[in-house]
Amino acid sequence: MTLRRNFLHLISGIGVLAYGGHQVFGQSSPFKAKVIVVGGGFGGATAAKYLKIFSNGKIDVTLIEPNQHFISCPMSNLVISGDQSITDITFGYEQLVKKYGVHLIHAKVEQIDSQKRVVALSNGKKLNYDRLVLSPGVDFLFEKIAGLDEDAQKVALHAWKAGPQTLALKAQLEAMPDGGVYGISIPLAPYRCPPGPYERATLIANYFKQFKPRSKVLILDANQDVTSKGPLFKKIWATRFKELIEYRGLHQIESVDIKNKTIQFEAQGELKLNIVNILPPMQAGKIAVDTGLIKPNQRWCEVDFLTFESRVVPNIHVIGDAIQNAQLMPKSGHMANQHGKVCASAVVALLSDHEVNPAPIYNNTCYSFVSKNEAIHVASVHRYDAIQKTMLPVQGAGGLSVEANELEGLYANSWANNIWSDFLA
Amino acid sequence: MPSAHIVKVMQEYQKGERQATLMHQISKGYTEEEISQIAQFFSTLNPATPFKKGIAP
Repeated sequence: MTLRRNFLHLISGIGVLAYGGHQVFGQSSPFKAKVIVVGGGFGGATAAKYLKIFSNGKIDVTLIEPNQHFISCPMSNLVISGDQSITDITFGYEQLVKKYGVHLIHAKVEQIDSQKRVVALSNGKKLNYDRLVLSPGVDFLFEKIAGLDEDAQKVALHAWKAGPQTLALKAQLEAMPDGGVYGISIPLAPYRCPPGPYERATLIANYFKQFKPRSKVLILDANQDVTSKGPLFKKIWATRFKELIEYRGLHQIESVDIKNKTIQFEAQGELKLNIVNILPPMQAGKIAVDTGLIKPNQRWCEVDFLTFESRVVPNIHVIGDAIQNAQLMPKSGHMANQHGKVCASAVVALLSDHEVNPAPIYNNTCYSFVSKNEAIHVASVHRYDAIQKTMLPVQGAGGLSVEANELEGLYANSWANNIWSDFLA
Repeated sequence: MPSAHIVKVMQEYQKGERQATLMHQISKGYTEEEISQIAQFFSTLNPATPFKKGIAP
């Protein structure tokens, strides 16, 4: 018992390489529960795999994901800047099926009946569950920006879900004449991947510097200041991209006029751009909203951080970007991966009448590239606080890079390979 | 990798005696007991096979 608890405890606590063929359950565990995992991203794919590992294959796990392939958001800014190819960040789900015995269904979840515990799919199938793990990511609140209707969305891209929009934004940059202006509009925090917009701006400036040196990058941030790695990014901008990047805080976008290629701000009037890249305000994926997992006037799902079970609807566990984050817990792929492991361990414990790990600990590492080969990081460690019943950052742990360099670029590439491998291989 | 070696290295990171970009920051978040558990776990693993990067769509 102690050994098992220790194993579950540590496997959820450490980095992305933490898995193995350990037998967590005795052969005698008399259960055959059904768990449905909705969403095959960093959170959901991790949960699906580790539910199988932690239950020694005994839990029946079905992963539902509409896309045939996984395309990684982390590293996708390097595709936009032409430093990596989309095939570098595209992977299949085959190993989850072959190696771990996960059932994989490529469909969309139309409805979750949390009373009857039935999921209705776009292919007409209905599936029962004992527990459901929901990892729906984010959806965009396009309606918060006037003029950003369906047609406008085809021009004013977000490219904040890796895939066709990643390549479309790259094509826009390639087609833009030298001397043009690219603007990225950043919503108020919290949003997916806090440093991501600044990484993108930096990499695009790096592309401009090489190929379109008279062009300009405008960072139009609704937040007062850079929300992540501020001093590191600002140093890079000041030393390498003085004429190329301009940062403007407190720029809350109000509307967009696609025909005239202008955007309007609440306080600062109108601005003309060649490329308009709008990250709209975000909330938990629509299925979470439709299932009633979000309290009034909120955008994210509140969870119990020991189990990730929804605080609103029983038997549904929510992980990844869709949750109401604990203090200083970013919406990141790394974090979703850690949620996936803690959640899988708790679900296995709940379904087999074992004690849930009372003291989860895990970490986050976010790398941002500032050129093809150089990166910076921010890291933190998060531990469960039994009194406050939430995850708290461990004081004295974590931190930032000293400066951008190629060694961190190498480690950033390793981070990506390792974490992809952790939930897809 | 032997468990004792992992513990030693992690302690050096914690104390700042070992050069690092990141692990000196992460290691400080874990107790001695947790480091020992981590080391025990990793010592049981076989060296990883390199992840095959990028499967074309």
